[in-house]
Amino acid sequence: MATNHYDVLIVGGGISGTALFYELAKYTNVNSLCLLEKYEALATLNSKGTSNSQTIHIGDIETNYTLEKAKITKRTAKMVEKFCLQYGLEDKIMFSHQKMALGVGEKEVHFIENRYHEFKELFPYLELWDAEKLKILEPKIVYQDKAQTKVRPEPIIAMGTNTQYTTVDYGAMSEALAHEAQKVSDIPTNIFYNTQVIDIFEKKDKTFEVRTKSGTVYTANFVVVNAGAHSLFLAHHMGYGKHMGCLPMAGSFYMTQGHFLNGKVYMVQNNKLPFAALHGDPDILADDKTRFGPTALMLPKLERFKPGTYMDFFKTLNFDFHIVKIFWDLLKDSDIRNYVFKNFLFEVPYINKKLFVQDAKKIVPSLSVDDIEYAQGFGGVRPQVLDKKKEKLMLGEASINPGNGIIFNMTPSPGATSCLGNAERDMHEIVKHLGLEYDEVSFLNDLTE
Amino acid sequence: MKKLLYITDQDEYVDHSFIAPLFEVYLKKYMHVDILYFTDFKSDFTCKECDHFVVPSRYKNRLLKELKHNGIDISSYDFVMVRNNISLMEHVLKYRKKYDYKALYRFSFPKRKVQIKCEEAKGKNQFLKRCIHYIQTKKETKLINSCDAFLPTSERMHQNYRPEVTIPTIICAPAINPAALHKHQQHEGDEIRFVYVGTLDKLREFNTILDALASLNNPSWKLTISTRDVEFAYTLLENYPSIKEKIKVYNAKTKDALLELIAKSDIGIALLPELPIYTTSTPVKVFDYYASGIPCIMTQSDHTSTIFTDGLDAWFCNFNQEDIKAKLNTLLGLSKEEIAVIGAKGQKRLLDVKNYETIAKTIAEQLEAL
Repeated sequence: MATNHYDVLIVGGGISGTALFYELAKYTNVNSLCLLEKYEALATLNSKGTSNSQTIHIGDIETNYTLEKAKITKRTAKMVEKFCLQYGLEDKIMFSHQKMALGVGEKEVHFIENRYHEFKELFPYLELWDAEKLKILEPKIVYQDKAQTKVRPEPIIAMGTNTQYTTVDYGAMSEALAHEAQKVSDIPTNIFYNTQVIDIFEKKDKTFEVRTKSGTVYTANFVVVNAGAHSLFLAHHMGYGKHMGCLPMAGSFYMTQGHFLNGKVYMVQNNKLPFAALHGDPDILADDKTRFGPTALMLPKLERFKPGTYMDFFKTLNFDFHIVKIFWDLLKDSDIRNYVFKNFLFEVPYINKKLFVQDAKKIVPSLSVDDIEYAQGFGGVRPQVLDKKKEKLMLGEASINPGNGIIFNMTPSPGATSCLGNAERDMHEIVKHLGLEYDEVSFLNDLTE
Repeated sequence: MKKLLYITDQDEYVDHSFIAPLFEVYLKKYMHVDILYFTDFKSDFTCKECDHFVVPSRYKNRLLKELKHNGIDISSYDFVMVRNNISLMEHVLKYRKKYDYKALYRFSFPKRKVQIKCEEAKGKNQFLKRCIHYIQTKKETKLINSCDAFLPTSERMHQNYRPEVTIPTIICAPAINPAALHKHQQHEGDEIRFVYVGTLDKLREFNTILDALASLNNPSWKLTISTRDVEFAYTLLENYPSIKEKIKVYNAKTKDALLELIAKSDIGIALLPELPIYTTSTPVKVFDYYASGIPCIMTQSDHTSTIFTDGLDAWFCNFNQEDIKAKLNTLLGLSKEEIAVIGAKGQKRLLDVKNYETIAKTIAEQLEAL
């Protein structure tokens, strides 16, 4: 067996793994770095441009975010923007679109108006757009007929902007991060493809041994696992995170034939339905055709459009009475039950389009079945974490850090947006643990406002 | 200082109007008050300004657990009060012994009963709903009786809608907020400007008032309506083409905007059918009118007649077209100055007998005595 030793070893070459790879290479005096990627290229799973919403979730139009959460996401979202600007990636992998959160009906309109005033100080560029303004900015959401002669009957209002960067191809950004890391560093920064990690052991000397499917063994002083749902799978193997389970939620998209919406239109989210962030936006990888989605289907596998991982799912779910209790609590609510059932039907050929259009009509009332096609090969898996101690579904990201030189990260939405922020947190931990130096001034200058 | 957690069934962005000053301001002089709202949209718990909690509505059935997870020490509360929501009350009662607090149930309005009445007014058969309401009321009464105190809006509301509640009762009535009085803005026009604020539905029979207005010989009046039921108002006005032009409909979004609208008028209208649901307490709109310094023409009830005197600081009127017409004719004969004097007297009267400052003191004393 060949042995390779590194200061830091990162498992997973998606946006989170490459962000950490970049920060360590550029801003610390780490001696050697290694990134292990299971597949033949970086970002082939959830970070891939076609697998996610391509949105920079800054917190301004994400209606389920509290003000406190938005303050945090704003900082990390700006880091993505600053990275792209630093390397001239605007209009190549990062784009500026109009974006808005749309309120439909009395209750949502009331909410959007109040939310606008609450968030205005944090996001001074936000504007409140009434139906008259929306007729100019995004007419398809105002009219209920294709000829645009009849205005939809419900009151509508939107909070939004057309002055910000909104969209990133996170797959391309992962490549840019890895490329820049290898360019700036004169230390070994190795990336190994087609290298599937099957187990990690803590050795007596407090370093870690990482075993791969091909038989190659790597050792490292510090290991960070950024492998999506498999992070929890590997954590469980080592006896960590046993109080957590993973619920993979697959999202699919529907695509229009041509340009349909001018920008991103997000709906007001129901807090009972954390996966229901249905929106419409121009797809930067499909000639600006408009994408509607994602749907939300619980999938008994950890990786979409890849063979296998069914058994990994069952192991990672960590099934017991607490999981039953979480499911019971979720499904006894009729809103959630109906939503789960409906999203299952969204995947059933012949009836899926018809049903999906009914939901998407809340964004574009004149949308018809003929306007959209199921977007084959689009969509990914969001590894939502189940907290068995609290007996509830956790929203957003989760990290397991036992404090002994290994970290496991699960980063569903807004994980891509917060990749550089999460990497910063892990970098601090690594610097402290290994006694490294960190160029804080350059880091803050380069990546923060 | 004792601690109260007030759990309201309202949304975090509700316009904190009517009873809010009591809990937000005046009761805080006597005890520490934390107020909990729910959100249907945000995903995470929020603590605003240390004493306002906003909880995602999906946690309603595990509320205290969620508060504990977010660092709230439930056992630090002496009182936990729930507004209107019986299943939340049940949840709070379940943990009363564990956290050692007094459980209080606040009953602000008989919503379910009103809904049934509204549907009946539309001619719909509500027999089944009446039966369900009867059974639910029985169950709810039993639950309320296991609380430490019951806080209805008025004694009449207690007697009419929860007569079998036998636990200590603390009246939590609407009142005028001495810190939020708007100055009356005398307008330049020659006409008398009436204003109506609040819900419009079939049950409130606003058509009776419009009939009276339409039959007036004196055309020197205008009417402003502020309601959430804008569509209903417009539909109703379609039946009155002769006076439609004299009436403007608004939907004031905030309490301040509403009081501003009222302050530009001369006389408020609080005429409602003489149904128990409207006579069990003084309508909130009466306090809104006087808070803006304008007098009010209202239906006489046990409540209104103990506060006001007809012709001195308000006008009473029976709820029928002829009586309303006669009263309106009298009012149209008054000068704007004479009307303003009545408004000022009414405001003073409310400040003397029905203001949140004194009500808060009474409630605090009664809670202390539990």
